[in-house]
Amino acid sequence: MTRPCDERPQLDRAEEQFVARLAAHYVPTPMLPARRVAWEEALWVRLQRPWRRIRLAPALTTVVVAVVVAWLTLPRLFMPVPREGGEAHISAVETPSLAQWAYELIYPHELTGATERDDSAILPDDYRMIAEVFLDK
Amino acid sequence: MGEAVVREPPAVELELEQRFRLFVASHRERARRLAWRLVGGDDAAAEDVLQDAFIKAYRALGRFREEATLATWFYRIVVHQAHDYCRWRTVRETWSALWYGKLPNSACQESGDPLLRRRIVKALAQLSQSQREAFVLVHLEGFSVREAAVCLGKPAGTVKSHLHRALLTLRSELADLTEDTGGSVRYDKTV
Repeated sequence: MTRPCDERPQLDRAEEQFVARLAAHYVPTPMLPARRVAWEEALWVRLQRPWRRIRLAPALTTVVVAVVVAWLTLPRLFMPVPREGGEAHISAVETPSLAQWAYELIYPHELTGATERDDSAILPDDYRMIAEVFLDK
Repeated sequence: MGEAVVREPPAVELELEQRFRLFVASHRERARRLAWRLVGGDDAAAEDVLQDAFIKAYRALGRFREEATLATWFYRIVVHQAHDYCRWRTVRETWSALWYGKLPNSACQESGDPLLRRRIVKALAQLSQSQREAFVLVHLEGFSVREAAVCLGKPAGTVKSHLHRALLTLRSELADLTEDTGGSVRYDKTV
């Protein structure tokens, strides 16, 4: 296939000798006949095997669609389920978050500046009387 | 009556297979030598690369456009396969070094002059991928610059530039090969 003198790079004598020595020393050992037969058999077995080409674009599209679908649907699985009346089990307004509870436990309300709630209204009457006596309310 | 119907391959397929067998027989040795030189002197790797290249060529025959000769087109596939192999070998070696703290053993067959061969492999590894491919194709395998340009998918001027730089680097790395040492070659014991 190589045509003689077809755009061969011009080398001086020393360069030609260098390249010739390199080529002579950097050459593989010939394939042994038994190894060649085994290699050819393996080649033809692979060639005759049914082959299904994996096209990159459809495979990538499938992966992208699967990721998007998972991203859209999975968070919904963890959302609160509404009751029959349409009211959700968990309400962010009524129930303080765990972080907020932890904050109020760790820092006393004197430091945080939060006003103390008066829970006396929800106490039974006898408890309220005791509280009034002992807590000067 | 009860006879199994044996589907014979069409005549076109048979003819294609026969022609491809001839193609394999005529290009196997040169392509193996090219692959061996491109993957750094590893027999097993060269044979794998060669087999993959023949399989790719066989399956892509329908897409051959005759812009180049069939042989040049095939050698382009060999170069690409060797390129892919070297890239994945780098990834594997990096991963092994990170994970196990050591490099995997090379399957390089130690025959002939292994010390000098290792020096040549090391010197070729100093070149960039493009320089190495251009040098192996033109200077070691006897391709013309135009054929090498087709194989590498680069302009002929770029290939010439790669050849010039590759030769300069190799001559400085393997200076003792340049000198006329009367057939003997000095060995660098640091390799």
